[in-house]
Amino acid sequence: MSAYWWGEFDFKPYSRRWWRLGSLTLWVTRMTNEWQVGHRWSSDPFDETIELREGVELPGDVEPRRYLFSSGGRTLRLLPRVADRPFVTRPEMPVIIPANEQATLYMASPLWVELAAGDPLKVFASIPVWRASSTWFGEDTIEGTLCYATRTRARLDPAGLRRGPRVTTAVFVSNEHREPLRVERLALPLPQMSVFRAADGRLWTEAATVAYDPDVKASAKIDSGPPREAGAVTRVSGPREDPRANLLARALSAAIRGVTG
Amino acid sequence: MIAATLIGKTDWLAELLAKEPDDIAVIALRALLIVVVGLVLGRLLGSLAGRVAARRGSAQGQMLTRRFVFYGVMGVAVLMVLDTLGVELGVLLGAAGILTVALGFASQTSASNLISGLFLLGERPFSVGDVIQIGGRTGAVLSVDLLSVKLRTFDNLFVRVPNETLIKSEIVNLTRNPIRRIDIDLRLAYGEDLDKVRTILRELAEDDPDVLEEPEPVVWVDRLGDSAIHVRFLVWASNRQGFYDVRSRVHELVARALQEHRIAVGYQRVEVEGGDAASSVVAAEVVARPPV
Repeated sequence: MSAYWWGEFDFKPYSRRWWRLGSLTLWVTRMTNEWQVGHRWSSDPFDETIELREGVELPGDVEPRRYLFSSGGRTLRLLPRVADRPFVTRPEMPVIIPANEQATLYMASPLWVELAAGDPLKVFASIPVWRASSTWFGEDTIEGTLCYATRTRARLDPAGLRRGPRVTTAVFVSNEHREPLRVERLALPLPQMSVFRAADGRLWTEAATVAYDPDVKASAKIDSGPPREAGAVTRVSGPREDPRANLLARALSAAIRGVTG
Repeated sequence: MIAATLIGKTDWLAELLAKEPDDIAVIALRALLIVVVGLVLGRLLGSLAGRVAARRGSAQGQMLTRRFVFYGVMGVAVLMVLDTLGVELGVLLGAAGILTVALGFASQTSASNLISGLFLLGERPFSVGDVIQIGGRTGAVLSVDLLSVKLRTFDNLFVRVPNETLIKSEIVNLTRNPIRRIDIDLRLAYGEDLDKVRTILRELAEDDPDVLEEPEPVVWVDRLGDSAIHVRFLVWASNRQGFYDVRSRVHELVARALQEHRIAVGYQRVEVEGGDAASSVVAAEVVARPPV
């Protein structure tokens, strides 16, 4: 039994566990050589509840999916993972960074829950805790990437961020241009990031650094770990994609639109 | 020329038959060897060229390159066999020239399709698996061949479109771009609160996770019709996964939302006047539900 809502869980035969992770409610039942998973989402994207119980009945309107295995292991691994597409976050209010200034913005994004079972453990399901809207991120409607969209308050203090099943990313933005920089939207390449747990239980991804200068090719990179203010961290899950992929520079550097304020 | 070839042909046959049986066996063996080597070499070079083409292009390009190289090598092999048999190639090629002209006239359509196929390959307006619309037909491309393109329509019909037709007509590739717009045309009654309609539609787009936030959904008044205000609601969705499901769902949600908020739809009104000069004018109003 894990001390957190994630980890490896021991299931007795025909037992059921129930998770409430923000707006996601999840039922997992162990059968013989089979796992049944049912889930549903509430309509509140800001739900911060985290709850774990045993033996909660599956409501009639939730139709579970059956996952069959050749041998019946009794362990289920549930891990928080990053999103499977980049997240485009737009500040709720315009954020402007004056010339030659820097700022660290903290942004929270919904997590994905990954289920693995069998011996050895095989991943069989990946469910988002919130069904985020899709959005298009690109120069035009032909070249670009399909992303998830979210609004952020672009906090300058991580303490004010919403808790719950979310992962926080610190983005250090440095405006190296002569003109003020208006941050209209920021694409976080979450599939290339990992999830870390801080001592206070909060989940973090690696920090990202963006240097904006339209005259020079924009430089953007993912740091090796969460920011210093996260404190001591332990890695919970790895990235979905190779972090060295070229996509990152494109995603982050194209993310910021410089507008003279 | 043909007569000369025929004479040449008889001479060649007579010459060959006049040889010793042993010599004939040697010639036959040599011809067989050329054919076998030609076949092996054709296959080898064909697959090699195909592999090079595959690295640079599509599956159909690879197939075509392989075939061209194979038939080219086989053509050379046949010529070599004829040479071994003592056939005068110069005469034969002359005859072949005339034959080509004759064949060219006879197989004009095939040749045109073949060349159109090559142009299509160069231009690549679609590839296998894409959904295209041509001449009122919509279907997924099964294969792009030398003479034609094969489609499977959504009602599971097999359609063969000649390459020449494809070159001449307008092709719409429905799946090439990653995102696509859903256009919903509404006819609202005069007197409806357009701001309210705009808010309802915007909220509807925001609530559906498959409707893209960017490009932003647009609600615009298209024109003021005779009986209704024509409003267009334009939203975007991914063209990769379940586009038609999203389109159908958004249409349904719009219909429901309008019904729920009692937004009146503009009906077509036709005034019919009748009666004679003596009686008063009779006016009737015909109300027709617009087609959805």
